[in-house]
Amino acid sequence: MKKIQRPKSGYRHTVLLSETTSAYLFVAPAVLVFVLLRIVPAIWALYTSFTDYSMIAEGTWVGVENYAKLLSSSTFWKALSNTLVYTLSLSVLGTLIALLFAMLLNQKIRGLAFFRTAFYAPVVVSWVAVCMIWQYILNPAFGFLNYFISLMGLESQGWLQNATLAMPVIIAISVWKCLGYNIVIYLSALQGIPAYIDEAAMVDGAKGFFRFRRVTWQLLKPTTFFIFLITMLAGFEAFDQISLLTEGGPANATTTVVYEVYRNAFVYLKMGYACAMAIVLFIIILAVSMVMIRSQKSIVEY
Amino acid sequence: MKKSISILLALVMALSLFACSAPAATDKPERAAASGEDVTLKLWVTGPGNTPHKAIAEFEEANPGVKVEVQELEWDSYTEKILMSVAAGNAPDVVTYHATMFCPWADKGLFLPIDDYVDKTEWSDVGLDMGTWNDQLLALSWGVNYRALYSRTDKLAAAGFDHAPETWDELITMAQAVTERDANGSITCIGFDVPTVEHYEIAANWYDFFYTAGGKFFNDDQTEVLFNGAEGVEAAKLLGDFINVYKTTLPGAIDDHPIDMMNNRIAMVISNYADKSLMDEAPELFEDVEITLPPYKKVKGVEVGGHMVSALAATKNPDLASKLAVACAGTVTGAVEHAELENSIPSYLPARETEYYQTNKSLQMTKGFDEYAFVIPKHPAWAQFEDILSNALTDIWLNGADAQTALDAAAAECNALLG
Repeated sequence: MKKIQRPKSGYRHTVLLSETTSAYLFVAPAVLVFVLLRIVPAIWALYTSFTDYSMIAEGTWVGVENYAKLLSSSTFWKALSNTLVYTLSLSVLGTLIALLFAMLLNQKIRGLAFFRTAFYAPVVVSWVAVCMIWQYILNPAFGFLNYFISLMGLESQGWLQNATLAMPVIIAISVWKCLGYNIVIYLSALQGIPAYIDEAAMVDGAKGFFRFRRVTWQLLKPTTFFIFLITMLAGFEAFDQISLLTEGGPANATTTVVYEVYRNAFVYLKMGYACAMAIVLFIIILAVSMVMIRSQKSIVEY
Repeated sequence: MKKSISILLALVMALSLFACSAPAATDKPERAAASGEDVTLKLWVTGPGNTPHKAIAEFEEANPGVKVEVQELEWDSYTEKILMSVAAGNAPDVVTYHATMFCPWADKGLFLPIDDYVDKTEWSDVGLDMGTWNDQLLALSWGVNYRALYSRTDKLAAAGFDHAPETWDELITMAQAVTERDANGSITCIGFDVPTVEHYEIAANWYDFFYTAGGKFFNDDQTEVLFNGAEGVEAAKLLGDFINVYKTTLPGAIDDHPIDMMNNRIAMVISNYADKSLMDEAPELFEDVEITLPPYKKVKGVEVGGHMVSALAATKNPDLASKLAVACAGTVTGAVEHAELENSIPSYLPARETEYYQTNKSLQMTKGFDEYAFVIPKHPAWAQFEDILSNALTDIWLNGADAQTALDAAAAECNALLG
């Protein structure tokens, strides 16, 4: 086969070069911002994790001491397990429930615009407002939820004060808050499925859940993968809802790694230790992300 | 190639999350003299609306050529903002902050000693104690808040009591008597509340009872905690009993003590909330609120907190910054202005001679509290002890953990930090 060679000089080469240069110039601002605001602080954090830096006094090199303390800290392991439970629950529930509601909202029903707005509203409300509303609803003595269940003859609950209930309640609130965004993504994907595919399946005799499973679900897999991934990453970041609703309590039942990073950095003045915690979380997120991306092909292809 | 792209993508995602919390690199500011030139001092005031305009005007008049630039910080984010400004090398000259942050910040060398700028005879003992670290005065107590007992006297009177509870036993009896319930037995007015959400409040509330039972938190050289002794266990059990045995409260039901007191949802609580909001919102209701020392078992005592003012060690104008700190807290104008803004008790004694202090009803109710006032043990890791303790206490109160076992475990964790 004849080898095609890149021209060594002349007009074509100049055009190619200028196109490449232009491309680099176009991406340069984004890369620069990313490097300055993400890579550089991350490298700084990695270095700091080997020091006892406090943000006020200069840090000294302590080697792997922060990591050794971290791995022997029961609070860190509790925070890590809480983070994983929260993240997994949020990702699975936030994806599946959003799919269910997107399917419903994709029908021709009355008041569709109202329902779509209602489901999306929590997304644009800040966590502070969301938590205030839920604290009011969940108040053990004066809250609406306990009043409602008392009408059914059930006993009042301390929803956020009970170590068993607190995390599921926070997960439920988080799912409620992220649902609108996931529904919108699913809706756009559902409306992007050509009608003729569905019609062809109907002509072939596919019905109900079978048609959903073999046609719609297959075509929604890339969207599902995307939604699951972004919800999972949001789960790893859980902070506002923890800080505002429970402060990690009762008895560390709802503390997360990011909340512990904050406490150690800004309250205990142990920035080095907090950075070590952040590095461990980074490695976990990296590993999970790599597994997800590597398995993307087998999950998404149909 | 695909493998590299997947690794790169994963790295980008992980970094995006991870780097969010990483602060900027540090750069130590240079110290510079500012004589003979116009100087601008930066004052960061914690709490919206807390700027001492009159004190600043007086300071600027006394120091021609000096301008004070004020920035007000929110209570929920002031620590991050101050720490990040220090780390970034553009810290303010003077800061105001909550007393709980004094020890950790003083221990790391954040503040400038101001002993030479202050006549210590003009200050209350507790005020001086709050701002002293390693025998140096590093902060001025702008105003003191006592963690006192707030009681609705109308509700106590309706239950047949003519005074607020003074002892633990009286508190148990009265709290049960003033707890109001509906026909279903659900609480409609809390008799005595036990905080269970905010770590600071949980630990501080327990500490009030621990102290008045005669407990001692540390050994003399602060190398070991002693809170898991009999007094600590007794205090933890008593507070747990208000939730689980006497059922005078429902954990987490109360969010804002003054407002809930105003709304008839609570009859008694130990709080350090400045009652200013209550007085402003419903002055007529304040007629029925009494502030007294917390109920005691062996020793009378009342814990103090409050608002502190410090000049930062990184300032380029140490002399002027120290004078500005004194202008805010150590003058009659500054101390009274702050008392008016927050309804806190001035630590600067001449301010207590003013008409404002002498005629203010709630401030007069706390007259004489200084004699019983105590400061929470001063240790740079107090915030961490507070978190460990509050976890143990909520485990006892809400999860049914054994008090002795939970406090022993908490003490072992604290001792590991001390060791």
